[in-house]
Amino acid sequence: MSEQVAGARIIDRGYQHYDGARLGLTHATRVMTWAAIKRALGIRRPFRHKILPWLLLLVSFGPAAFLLAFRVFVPAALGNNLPSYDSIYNRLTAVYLLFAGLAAPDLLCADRRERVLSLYFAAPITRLRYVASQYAGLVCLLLLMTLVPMLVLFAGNALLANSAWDYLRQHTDDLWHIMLSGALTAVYFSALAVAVASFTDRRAYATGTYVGLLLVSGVVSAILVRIVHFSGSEWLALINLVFLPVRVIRGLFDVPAEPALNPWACAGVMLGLIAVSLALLVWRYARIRD
Amino acid sequence: MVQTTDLSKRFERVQALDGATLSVPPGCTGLLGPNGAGKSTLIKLLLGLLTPDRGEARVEGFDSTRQALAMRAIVGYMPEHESLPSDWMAQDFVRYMAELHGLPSRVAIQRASDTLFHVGLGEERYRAIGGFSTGMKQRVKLAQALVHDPRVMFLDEPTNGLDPAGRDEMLVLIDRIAHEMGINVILSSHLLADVERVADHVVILSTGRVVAQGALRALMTATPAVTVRTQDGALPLAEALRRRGYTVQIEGQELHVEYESDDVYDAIRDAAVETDAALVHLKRRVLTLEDIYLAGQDDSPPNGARDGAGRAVAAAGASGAGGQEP
Amino acid sequence: MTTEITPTSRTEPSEASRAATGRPGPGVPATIEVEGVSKWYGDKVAVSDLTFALGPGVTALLGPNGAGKSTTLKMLTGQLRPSRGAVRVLGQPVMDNPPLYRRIGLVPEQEGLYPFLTGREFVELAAQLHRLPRPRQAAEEALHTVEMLDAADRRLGGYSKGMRQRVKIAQALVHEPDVLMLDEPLTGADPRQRLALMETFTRLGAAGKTVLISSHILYEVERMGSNVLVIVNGKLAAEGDFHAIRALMDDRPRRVRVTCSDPRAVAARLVALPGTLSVSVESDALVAETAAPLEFHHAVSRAAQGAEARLYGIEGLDEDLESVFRYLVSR
Repeated sequence: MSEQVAGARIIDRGYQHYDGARLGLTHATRVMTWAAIKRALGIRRPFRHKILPWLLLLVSFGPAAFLLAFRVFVPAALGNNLPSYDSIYNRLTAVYLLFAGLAAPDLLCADRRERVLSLYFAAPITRLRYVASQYAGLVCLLLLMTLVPMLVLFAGNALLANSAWDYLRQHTDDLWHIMLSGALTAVYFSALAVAVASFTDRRAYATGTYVGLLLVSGVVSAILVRIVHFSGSEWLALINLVFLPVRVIRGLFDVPAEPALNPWACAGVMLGLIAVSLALLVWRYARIRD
Repeated sequence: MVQTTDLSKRFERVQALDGATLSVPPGCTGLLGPNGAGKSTLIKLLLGLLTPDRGEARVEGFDSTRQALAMRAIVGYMPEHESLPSDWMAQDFVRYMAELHGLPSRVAIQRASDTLFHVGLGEERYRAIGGFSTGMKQRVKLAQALVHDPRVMFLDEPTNGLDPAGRDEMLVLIDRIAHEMGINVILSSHLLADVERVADHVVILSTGRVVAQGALRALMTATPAVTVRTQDGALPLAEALRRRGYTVQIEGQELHVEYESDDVYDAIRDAAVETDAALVHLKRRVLTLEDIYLAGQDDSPPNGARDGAGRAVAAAGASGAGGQEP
Repeated sequence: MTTEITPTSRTEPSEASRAATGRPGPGVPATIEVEGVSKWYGDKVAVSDLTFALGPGVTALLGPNGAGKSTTLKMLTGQLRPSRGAVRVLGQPVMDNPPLYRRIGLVPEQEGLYPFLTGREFVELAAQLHRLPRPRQAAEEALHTVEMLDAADRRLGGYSKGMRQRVKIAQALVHEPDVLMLDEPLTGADPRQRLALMETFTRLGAAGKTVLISSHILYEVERMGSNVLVIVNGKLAAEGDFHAIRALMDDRPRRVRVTCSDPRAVAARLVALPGTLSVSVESDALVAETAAPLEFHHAVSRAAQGAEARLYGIEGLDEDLESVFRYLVSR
């Protein structure tokens, strides 16, 4: 309401009610996912929260960028034995692992410790959507790291080949394998990370536990495979949680892994772990009673 | 409007709420009760954060359990604890909460900024919440509860940690919200004076039951006594009143005069002129919220049996059991 | 059938307790003496040049957030060394004086309780640390005073905030100290618990203990005693009985509300008084500002009688602690 008299008016700056649209759950979920992505990248936060995530992001683009750069500018410097997609995934595993291990606690732990969840759960969202959106945000970022550099590399290879179209037709399989590898890797490391982060309120513990768990699994698996010998004992290698995605990826790209295990079985175990992790996450959050 | 019918909830060995039936009309309502009486359980059930064992809770017509999402879109909540993320900017967080409540982003940004201004946070809204004082944090909590233009707001101990000036400002804000902005407020607080100041109605809980509910003014009935304080000369004044046939009790410089009709006021006035007494204070003694609250805590019948005027029917008696907490 | 709800009577202090005003006086030695105390952290001055003395009875420590109340309390208990000046409690310097701590009880604002101990164990521990001859019994009494006996055998980790607060008070009372310092002791307590605790503190004050309470809830503090210590921006803004402080605030006229049947007619007569600075008229009352309150209060009944108006109420609007405090903070 404003008052108007002969060309002058006082405008009411008081509290205004809102009678407009109120969007639903989908909108809220999208907002939460986007917020998770921004948070993990340190956007709208002090600079120190940006350093590691952006660094890791850059590093994940490193191999693809370097390979392409060399091929374009200094092809002679490259030998014949160029790294394959699966070997790049292998090398970058540590980067993916670290990113997930840092981001998941950042997304989940602080909200629990600072008791912000009581505000969120009093909003018209569900607990499931909340955890799903944090998970989805993390997966999106990891996909950025696991998928996009490889696709860029693929595209670069295609463009640098004699005929891009021929290259594409000959290597279509590679394209699908890249998509699947990237997706699986992103989903896998994210799932493990959020599961661990749902068990503790302190970011440092969560990251430490996650990284420690993975490393220990690698060590234990290596030792056991070495020492223990019985029929089927090579399956103990699956204890190595870190290498599991690469096994599946190598299976996809038809590259032998050491020890040789049926890649389908490995994929099964991986999917199983993902399912269990997500189930744990949902269970933990269903039980929170602020 | 908020309503519950036979609302009950049990936690392991403790019956937190036991058949609570209440009806909160529009306006500002105080929710009172000892620790462990079930106030926070009641709020959580109303917000749909818990499912009742028995009974029903409704907020603005929405069933809190079955229509929780629709209900929460029009409800604001200011919890007792900190509940704020320390590394968000105030503006960003309030905008986020607006968006979670269904506001489109452009609207959310504008309303967040406006709401923060209305609660008294100016330039500070672009700083991280972690660096805020207690008073500023309480304002942010209030802002996020208000930003999406709710129809009902639940405020849990909103004056916690505030110094006298901050408390005063917060109560002024709450008063404005309830009485100028037309938003229903349910205020849970242990500070009875705060509730007396802003509330129109009260609901008093004890051991999981409603022991009193009603309009505050109706509950705060007048007693048959008028309190008079003089600077000095209490005795002559008392004598003058007694000569006029009034019963007077003296406590220091304070007189308690028996009230039978409004005529007593004239008697006091005339007696004061007669004895040249300096009347410093004159007031019909009225039950305070504290009186009502304490009476309600002794062996009260379930669901606050009320008489016609909404007065609590309480058994007067020995002091009740100490606050038992689950 | 409606039964009477009797108004809670506010008991007048007895003669004996009137002696314990919180201020030292003839025959009443000071129990807390602070002289020229300042505390700074690098460039930041927390507290500057405090000088005051307290005696037995209840004293309220008041001030806006960040004024330096917690710093002052910490210096009074020897937890913090002043940058300058001296603090004496019960006649002795408080720094590095362990035997003195047995006569002081402190209820700090921060938490710091061991979650795995039960309430009883915690208070007994305090009793043992004070080397009391019968720690179990002392703990039992202290817990009884704060109404925590029923919950005493549950772990602190499971306590609500109000329960933790009361256990903290119990551990400060267990050794029956002569000086008790409390920082927001009523936090988390429900109305009845608040009244019970306030009664406990009043009783301790009347019994001759020195009780210093820092609190923001002025209308509660007002009920326990009238001696106040007000700190604003690190400096002492006022000390003494707040009614007396009010009387000193003579640059502030008194505001009085008079509810009557014909406010305008009564106002007309009151405006005639030389001390009346202003009168505003409402539908059922008038609010007057006067520089001569006593004369005003004498004149009200005459004015009403002269105007043939019925006098329903007279109320001083800025006599309470809240008004005094607001004034002191804004100067």
